[in-house]
Amino acid sequence: MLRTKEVGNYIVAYLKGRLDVHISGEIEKDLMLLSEKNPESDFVLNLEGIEYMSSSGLRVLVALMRHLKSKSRKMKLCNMNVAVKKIFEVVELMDMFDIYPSEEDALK
Amino acid sequence: MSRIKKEFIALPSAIPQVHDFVAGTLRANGVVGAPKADLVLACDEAATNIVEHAYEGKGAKPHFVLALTCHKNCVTATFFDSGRSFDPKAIAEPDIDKNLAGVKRGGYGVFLIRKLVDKIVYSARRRLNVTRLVKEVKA
Repeated sequence: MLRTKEVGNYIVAYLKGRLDVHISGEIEKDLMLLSEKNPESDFVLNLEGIEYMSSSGLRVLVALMRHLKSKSRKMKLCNMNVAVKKIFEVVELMDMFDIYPSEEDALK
Repeated sequence: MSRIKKEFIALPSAIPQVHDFVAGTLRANGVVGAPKADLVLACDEAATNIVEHAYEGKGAKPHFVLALTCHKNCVTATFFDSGRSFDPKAIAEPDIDKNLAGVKRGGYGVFLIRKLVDKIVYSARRRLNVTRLVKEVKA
């Protein structure tokens, strides 16, 4: 179950644990459900609690970004640790996402 | 040199076990930091490919074996499975535009493996696929 909070027009979702193929399907379902329940909101995904991410996790983030962009909504990522950031760099996806160092920066 | 192998069920629930097996074995052999993180992720991706693609549509008890060999200057991770053949070297690079357009999902796993290890060797003989990942390390 995702922990979330509302800040203005943003839904902030706190992802945690290992975002691998075992858990990514469930996370994607939760995020899509959250988007359906809040059809006008933009999203901030706080990745501070993500200790590890594989390509299955990346796939979830790309799917959510595609879903939100198709409805002219925003998705921002923040609080990425070094290991997660490295994956984005290796697959050259840093420029594709709006990435912020902190939640506060993402909500500005 | 140390060699250890373990059998896993080819289901998504086995991936955290693969992660722990690889991380624990490398740590016990003095492989830490970035080389360890790279190998854990590369093995996760290789195992995920087996889980998601090798046994698609095939019944009965899918499984695979992962053997880790730690040499002084390199680590070899060898996967054995009897599912559909899958040569990671033959997979095209991911297309981000198609991903964003929803035409194609994913494709990053093999790309990550290529970037994270020094060598990938694949062979398929008599229904046995052998995928070997080799990474140079400083133990």
